[in-house]
Amino acid sequence: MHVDMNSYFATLLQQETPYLRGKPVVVVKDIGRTCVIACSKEAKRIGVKTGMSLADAKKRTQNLYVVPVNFPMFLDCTKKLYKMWKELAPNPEIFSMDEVFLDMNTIPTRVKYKSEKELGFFIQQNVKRTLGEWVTCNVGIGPTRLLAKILGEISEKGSVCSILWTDRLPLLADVLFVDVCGVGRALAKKLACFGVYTPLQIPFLGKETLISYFGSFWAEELLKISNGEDPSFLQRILAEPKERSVGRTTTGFSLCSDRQEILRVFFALCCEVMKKSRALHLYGRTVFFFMMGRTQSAHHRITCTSAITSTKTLFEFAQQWVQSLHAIFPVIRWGVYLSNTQKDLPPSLFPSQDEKHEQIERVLDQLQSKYGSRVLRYAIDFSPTLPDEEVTGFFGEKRIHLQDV
Amino acid sequence: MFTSINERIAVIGVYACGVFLPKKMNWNRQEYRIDEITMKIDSKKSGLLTRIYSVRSGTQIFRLEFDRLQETWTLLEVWCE
Repeated sequence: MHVDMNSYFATLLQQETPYLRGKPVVVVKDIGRTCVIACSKEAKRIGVKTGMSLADAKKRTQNLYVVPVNFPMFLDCTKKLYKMWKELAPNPEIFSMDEVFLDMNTIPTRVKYKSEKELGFFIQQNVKRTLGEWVTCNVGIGPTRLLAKILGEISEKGSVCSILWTDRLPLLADVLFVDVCGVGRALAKKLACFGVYTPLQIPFLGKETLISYFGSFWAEELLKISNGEDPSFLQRILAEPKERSVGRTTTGFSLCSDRQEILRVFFALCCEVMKKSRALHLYGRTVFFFMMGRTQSAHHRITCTSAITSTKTLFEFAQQWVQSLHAIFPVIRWGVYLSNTQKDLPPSLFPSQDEKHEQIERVLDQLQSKYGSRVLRYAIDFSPTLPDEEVTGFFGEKRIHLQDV
Repeated sequence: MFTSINERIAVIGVYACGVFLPKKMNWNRQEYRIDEITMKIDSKKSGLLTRIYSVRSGTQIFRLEFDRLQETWTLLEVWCE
């Protein structure tokens, strides 16, 4: 079973503000930002798409409501949803913040339902009870994840649809690649050159043609899709993902030319990178810094002989690099990456200064997790303009899974 | 668009099945009856859990914050067209 929340971010904002309900709403990161990061059902109906510029979106309608994002709300709602999925099925497969696959065989017997569709309606009611009346979701029920997801994509908003394995061919003959998970625009365009517009047409190309034009991997994947089977990216990955690097980037609100301020932002990023690195027990030797301005950019990469374990050491590299630059250009975007990593360093008999720093920082992490990230920090980090700790990714929605583990 | 207010206010409500439901609020010497709680968010601010209620009173929408440490209510924002 596949559950997909309809226009998740925009719908939550409409739920919070009844005035926005039924109106075309676009979500931007902040007032003044110009990229549409989410849009409501009503906005989608008039042709507004995610990723569009605000100016383009406004061309579609004059009555467009531009609302800034509310990350704490999204995070809290996603946590509530996750808790709900966990109660419903012990092993929910979170596909994205607003999508989940539930294995119907694992749904406990206390959840009584006469038919699959009834279970779908029950889930929709639960979502409404948890997040609000305005929040709707599509439920697709199928023998494979691919078929369930396709059904969810093409069916009407807020509906429950199901399909049997024997009925898959008419669906695969009708659905366009834009609604098929995993087939991107470029691949769909390439397939269109062969006159292939729907999954059911794929086998007519023949396996050899597919291999010669799309490669052996995509030939296999496309043939699976054409038969309604799950392609590899929809199959559950049982192995824990292996992290290879940790990083953090941020975009400022305005261009910054002050060397000290630039360094402060780098320091905040270094703190977060090292915090992630400690949480993952991942220590890197190669560090990469970059900063971008309107037209200019600069980067610096350095590989050390031993793993970097403290924020101080990491920041010293950034400091040396920024201070070595003759002229500073106005910067809007910063990034710090730590790669060439290894898991868990062996403890040394006589800890170095760096290792002592790391121990202090571990205590700092514990204090921050208990009392908040801003309650105790380095003096250099004290600036109101510094970026907030990230709300998506490792410290955001992924934290839910970590806490759960 | 929400406009920042950040003013202490008085709120009365009821506990129903262990859940607090704000019913009325007093702001600027005016009483507002809360018709609907449109959203309830738990967030962490400096280590303290705060609860933010988005409520509708007639056609007006307010964001109220309950500080668990001080046990105070703050009117954070008001929706203005």
